[in-house]
Amino acid sequence: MTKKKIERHIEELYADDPERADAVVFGRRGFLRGAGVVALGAAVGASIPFARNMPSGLIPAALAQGAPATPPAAPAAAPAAPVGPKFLEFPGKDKLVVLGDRPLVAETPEALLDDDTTPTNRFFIRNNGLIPDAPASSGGWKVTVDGEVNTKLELTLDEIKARFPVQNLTMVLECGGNGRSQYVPAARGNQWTNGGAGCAKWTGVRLKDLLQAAGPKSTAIYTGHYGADPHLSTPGAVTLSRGVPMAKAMEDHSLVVWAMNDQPLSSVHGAPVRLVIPGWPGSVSAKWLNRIWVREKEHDGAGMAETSYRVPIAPMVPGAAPNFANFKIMESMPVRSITTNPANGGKLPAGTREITVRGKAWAGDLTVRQVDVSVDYGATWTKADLQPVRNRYDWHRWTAKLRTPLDGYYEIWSRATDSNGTMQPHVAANWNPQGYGGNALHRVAVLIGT
Amino acid sequence: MTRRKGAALLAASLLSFGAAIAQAQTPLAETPEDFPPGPGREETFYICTACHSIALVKAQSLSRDAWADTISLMQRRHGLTPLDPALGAQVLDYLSTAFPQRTAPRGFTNPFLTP
Repeated sequence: MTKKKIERHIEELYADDPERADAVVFGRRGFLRGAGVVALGAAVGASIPFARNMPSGLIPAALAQGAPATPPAAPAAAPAAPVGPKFLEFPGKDKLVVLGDRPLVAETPEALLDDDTTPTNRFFIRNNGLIPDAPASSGGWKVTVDGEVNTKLELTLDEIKARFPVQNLTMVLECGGNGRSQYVPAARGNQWTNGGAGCAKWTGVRLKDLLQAAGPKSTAIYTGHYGADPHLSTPGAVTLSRGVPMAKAMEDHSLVVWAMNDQPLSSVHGAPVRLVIPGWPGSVSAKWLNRIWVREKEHDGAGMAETSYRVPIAPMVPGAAPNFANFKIMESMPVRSITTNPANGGKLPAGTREITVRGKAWAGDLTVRQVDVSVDYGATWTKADLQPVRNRYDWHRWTAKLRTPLDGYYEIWSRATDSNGTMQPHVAANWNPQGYGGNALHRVAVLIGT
Repeated sequence: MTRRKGAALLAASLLSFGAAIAQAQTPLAETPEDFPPGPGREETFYICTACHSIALVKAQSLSRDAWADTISLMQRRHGLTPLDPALGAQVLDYLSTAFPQRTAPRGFTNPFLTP
């Protein structure tokens, strides 16, 4: 049972050699004070020798995110090693593929991105810390704008809603690491396929309006975004804080949003208020937003350094150690297309001589000029019909008809070209240690007959 | 105190802290046995899971140098405590043996292949 699991977890730690366990696991970071120590000690059935060294991280370490509050009973026997993907079980979410449960990270299989607008239950999740508590009053949630501004602002969500014109935009949000699993050798991090993306309707106000209300000084060149998500292990530490140049922040489509698909944001998507800065890695679109720090220099928050959300300037040898000086911040996401129907692994009736293929394509800050689809490994290509975008940063919905002359195994390849003429490559290019920018063409396999 | 009572109390007391953990969070269902066997498994498990779940570790396939840099990165950027040299070597040995560098792509696999 689940409770038995927690017992194993804690007791394995302390049963044999509590001092060693403390040293191995908790090191010298953080504290867990007072009642917490007593409760934990009682639970473990022993005192905790190095309680003073125990980080509050033990609380999240003893608990995982990613399952409903009342999880289904687990089998009594130790489960066999899982085969295939682990599917998300989370209130209000479809069966996304779990990449990690602490922090909670889950991607949407391409076939679940078939909707014109991604329903919230199918929208990917990328957390970096824990999910913060829901506020007592979402309307009273405060967002601070400070730093290089003439007037520091501290506005409640209710004030934000009342003060600025409301925007409704349907826009793609995409994880910076989307496509990482394509890299060879493997790049470090969550192994996204193409499912770290979705396109939702967002309701909010322009970030520009907040910034202008605060009055950026001439020294304002970059933003730094902060959310309320607690760090995984270190109390009070910032989980992630990234930002964008002022020009990106001041775009009309960079929003401070409180609703997703006409519903208030759910906790896992950043309730009560988050940023949506489209076209760029999703990590700049802070969830649980509580502060925008206007900087006089490039922001230096957690997640802005070394090779995080950065790509090489000059191409490097795949797998080699990086020279940090050769890296620049990843800005616009690259062009990408996915086939959403048929699904990978789909079976079609014998005698099917034509397949209608549906998909999506998007290109960061750019638009998509063309999508081509092949059913013969790229020997010939068929141009897809693109639907116009509903607004800037929407994805392009596309369809194509492909001839399949005989029954058997086919791969459908889709390849988009952005408005600058850049195509998706056949393999993930420009290798980098953390695997940003992997946008190889998408392959799905189908079987006709047999 | 019995083990079962202890676990129940632990779960209850942790949940009663409320503040940062109230919603949609359940007891961790990970044990060292979820990692491949090998020397250093237990130490590696507890060091990594002090912060994040093992799924992230199991998804990696890195060279020994890249694993060394990953441990260093966790220390430089994510608050991992310094490891004494013997322990550090044990963890590095384990990670680079259990999750070695992969040189074949895994972005696409034929869904019709049978084992």
